[in-house]
Amino acid sequence: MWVVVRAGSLAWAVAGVWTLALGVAGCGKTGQNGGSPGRASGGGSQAVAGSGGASAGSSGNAGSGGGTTAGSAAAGVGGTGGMEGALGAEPSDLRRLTAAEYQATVSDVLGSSAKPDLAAFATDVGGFDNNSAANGVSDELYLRYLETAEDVADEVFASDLLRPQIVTCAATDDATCVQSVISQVTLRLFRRPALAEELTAYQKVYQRARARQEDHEGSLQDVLIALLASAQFLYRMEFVPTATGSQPLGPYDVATRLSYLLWSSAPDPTLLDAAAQNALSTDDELTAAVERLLQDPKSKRFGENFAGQWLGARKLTQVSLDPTLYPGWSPLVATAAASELELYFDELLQPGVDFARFLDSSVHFANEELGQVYGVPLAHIDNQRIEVKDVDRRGVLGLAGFLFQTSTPTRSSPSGRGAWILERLLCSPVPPQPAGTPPFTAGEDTIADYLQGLDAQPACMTCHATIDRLGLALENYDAIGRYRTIYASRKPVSSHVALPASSALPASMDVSGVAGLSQLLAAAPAFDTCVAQQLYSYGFGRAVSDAERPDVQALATAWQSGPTTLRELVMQLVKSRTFRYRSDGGAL
Amino acid sequence: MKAFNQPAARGRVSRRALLRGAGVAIALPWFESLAQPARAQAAAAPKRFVAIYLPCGAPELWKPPLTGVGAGWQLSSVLDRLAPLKSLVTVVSGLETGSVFNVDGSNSVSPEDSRLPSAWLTCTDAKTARQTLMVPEANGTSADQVMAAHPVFAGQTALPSLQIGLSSVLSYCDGEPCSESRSVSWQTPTKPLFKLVNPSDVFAQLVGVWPGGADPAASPRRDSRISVLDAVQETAAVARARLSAHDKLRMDEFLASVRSIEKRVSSSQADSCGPLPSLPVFPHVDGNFRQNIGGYDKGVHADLMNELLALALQCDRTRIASYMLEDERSEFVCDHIPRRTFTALTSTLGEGTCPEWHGGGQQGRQDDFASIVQWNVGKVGELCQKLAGMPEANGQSVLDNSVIFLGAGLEGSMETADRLPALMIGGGGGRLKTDQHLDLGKRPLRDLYFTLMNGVYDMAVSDFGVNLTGAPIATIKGLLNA
Repeated sequence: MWVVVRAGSLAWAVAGVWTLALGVAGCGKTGQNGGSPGRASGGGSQAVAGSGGASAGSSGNAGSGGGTTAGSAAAGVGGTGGMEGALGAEPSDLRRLTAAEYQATVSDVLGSSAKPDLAAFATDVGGFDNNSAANGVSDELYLRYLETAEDVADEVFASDLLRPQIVTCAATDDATCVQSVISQVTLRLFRRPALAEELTAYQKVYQRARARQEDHEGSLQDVLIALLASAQFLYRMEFVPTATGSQPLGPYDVATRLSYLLWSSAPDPTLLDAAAQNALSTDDELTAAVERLLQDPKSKRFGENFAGQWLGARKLTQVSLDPTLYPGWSPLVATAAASELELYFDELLQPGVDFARFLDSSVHFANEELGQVYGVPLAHIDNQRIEVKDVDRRGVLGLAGFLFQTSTPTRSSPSGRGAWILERLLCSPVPPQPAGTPPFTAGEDTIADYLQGLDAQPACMTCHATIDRLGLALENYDAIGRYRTIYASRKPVSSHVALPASSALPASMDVSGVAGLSQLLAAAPAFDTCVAQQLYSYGFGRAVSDAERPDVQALATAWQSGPTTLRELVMQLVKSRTFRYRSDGGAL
Repeated sequence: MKAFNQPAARGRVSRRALLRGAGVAIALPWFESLAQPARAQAAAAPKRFVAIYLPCGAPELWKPPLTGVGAGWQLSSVLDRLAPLKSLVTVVSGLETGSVFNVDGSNSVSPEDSRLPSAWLTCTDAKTARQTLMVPEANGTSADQVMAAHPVFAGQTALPSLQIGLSSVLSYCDGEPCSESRSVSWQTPTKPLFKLVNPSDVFAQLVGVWPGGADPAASPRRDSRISVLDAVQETAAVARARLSAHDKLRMDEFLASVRSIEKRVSSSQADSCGPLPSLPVFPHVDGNFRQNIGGYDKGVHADLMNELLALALQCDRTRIASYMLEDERSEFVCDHIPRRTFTALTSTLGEGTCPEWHGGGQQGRQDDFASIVQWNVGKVGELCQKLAGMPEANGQSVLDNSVIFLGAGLEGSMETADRLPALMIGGGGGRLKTDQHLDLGKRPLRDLYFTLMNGVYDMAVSDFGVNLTGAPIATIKGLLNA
């Protein structure tokens, strides 16, 4: 009855799935959950406490067998060392444009401001929204695409500014004119020159519109709708190489990978020209292209979409705190904090900026509302770059956008903060919260005692030991992210914790406050690897499988052996074999 | 009322633009005038099935104290808003899906907030399906979709089925694929259908894919669409030949959807409900409302969906629908619901309002949870009263010919796979034995779907869903009229 759609090691569940149980810090329920054998999760979700001594990433995926490793997949390919040797074991899948990519593409190519409403169809399998595992199309989604194509075409053809960019010749029923229009637009929208059969098919759309008494422009409008409703536009299509085995990608595919990585959009004419001249294959050519793309203002979308999801900026507007307890709270703070996370990331992306500043920097981007959280009086509506010279507030862990992201409406959540650090910065998945966990209902000044009290319940501590203590080291920040040394009840805050050894942080140690925690993370090998893994996962649009872990590790190693800038990490990713090759050549 | 379709320049006005522009504030209900006999020449009125999902289960107060028929049983306090419909209500206690997950049929399943809702309408363990198929998300085909694809229903209506919901905030997915807790309908084991949450989108779907149904003024847009969709299919086939084996499967899925939309565009059934009115203004729902703020009102949202669903059934746009009252792990704060104090048979207004549905409501005070469920049952009751007021050609009401199945994927207090809240409203075309409370002890939920498929809809199916205990699928005779 079931058809096997795909054979292969799809260990997506092993990669960090960013789903935090917000607002609940309780455990303690016994009964049907305690020690239940029903908790037979396949793999990956028990890597947190490190009871098996497994390092993050090598946790067994019971369902997929251990035979597939990058080594065996790469065998016979004859890597030439370094990154070349670590060949991505999985072929790259067809990737549907995300809502953000769709919007950026029609904006850059056509000047349209349309934004497809695809939220209701989001298949969120955790991680980034560009995960190709989640890009199937249903009838209703396709209808939405068709309607959006019509909206975009309506907008473009109604504008005297935009229409002439499409309608570049006026010879009604002239096949040459029509073909030239189709060729130009197709090159931009399909990110490659059209195939002859495609040109014929879209010519037919023009002819059929003419047969219905549409004029030249009206008929070309139908053509534009057809292009926007085509799979070639909606999906980033890479044709499989005809020669057997691992083969270099075509230049247009490389251009498309580059531009969607850094611009979330289609290649611009310069990049397409480079593809036409096959000038995107050497390291130097790729370096130059990456430098140019990062220089372009469009690269702010990299921050919006990569950091916006990795660091959670996108979801900040869903947080709401109780304004009676946190008078400084308003949606404006959430918006400013989201913007701060992106600006913080953008600065790290600048040339020569050491990524160490991610965890150790006094730079903030705040406006008036956010400045109040940081205790800095500001009168600006837009975020300004400031430095907060305070040893107890540094790096990403001192940013309000991180600190309140996991808060409940009434208190900070040490468990939420800890789980966030484990999942986002150490790529160590946190198991789902057990069934029937009662909510923690007491006040903010008792949560620390409550969590420490879980020591008496070993079943809870399997997960909670590491999760909570990472968060408890940040108790000097209240739910909104303001610094505090006492709770509202005047009880003193403690941020000294004894971290147990775990898979992500193998040595047990005492940690104090944000400074101690940041130093600990900065020194953890799992942190560098995790940053590489996040970029890898975003760049290739898939969760990292067990088979790909050596590839990720190689990326992290290559990065750490050169300048440790974010830019260098991007460069290493782009120069990697996984980025430049497909491993399924000759499959036709 | 403003006519929906308007002539526009060159006949190519954007339908979505029209929908957006057509917002005129009209008090509910806004299409009462349409309540006229549908399908005048229909010999027998069509039978419908609607599956309504109640997240988080229900408190124990849900279960009526007595089992029996007619005067022999009473609605519980949580169900009391169904009182006007009691003669068409069947409460079914003692259903379970533990047998879907555990060979001994035991009730423990984890993580329960994803696996249990995903099994509710499929009676399949999504996790097993995923592992068997080796895909990131999978499930069984859901009962509503088995029906929609069956010759009894397939091809009878413009829409094969409808999926709607009231989720106004992005929900927590319990560490599993979100489709498991956000979509109860699965067209195939790998195709979750999700649901439309914006009333304007549902309206657009019902109106059809061009304005005004068969209105000739709209035909240029339809012809344009057909020509566009032809080109899309032709070029997709060209590209498909150059794709990897796995990508070809993706392209096949894509092409199936394009063909389905083309079929919808091409079919031009006469409209049995006359011209459609425009939709009242309602905020755009984009995962952005965690409570009633910014013009968003859960009650109005529910009322609009009720109107639209009733319209869909009355006008025979579809005969199959699923409706999620909320996602399983929604963090919606129910402060629109006054807190009430409950006894077994009655409730009185208490103080304050209800908290977040999951967690605060479900695991907190029994009265909070009961208040939330009672409110939602009330909305389902309002839907059914609408259907009861819609006469059909055979003199019966739409509700007489429907089964509105309201149920939850888990037991509410312990979050287990047994004692599932379940009730049906409607006569099922005279097949259902109504006005009763039946306690089945411990009976697989799949038996209920099996009973409906064969006993109400005459589908002659031989199996549905999974039962690891080895118990054969069987008809629940007590649900059917002799």
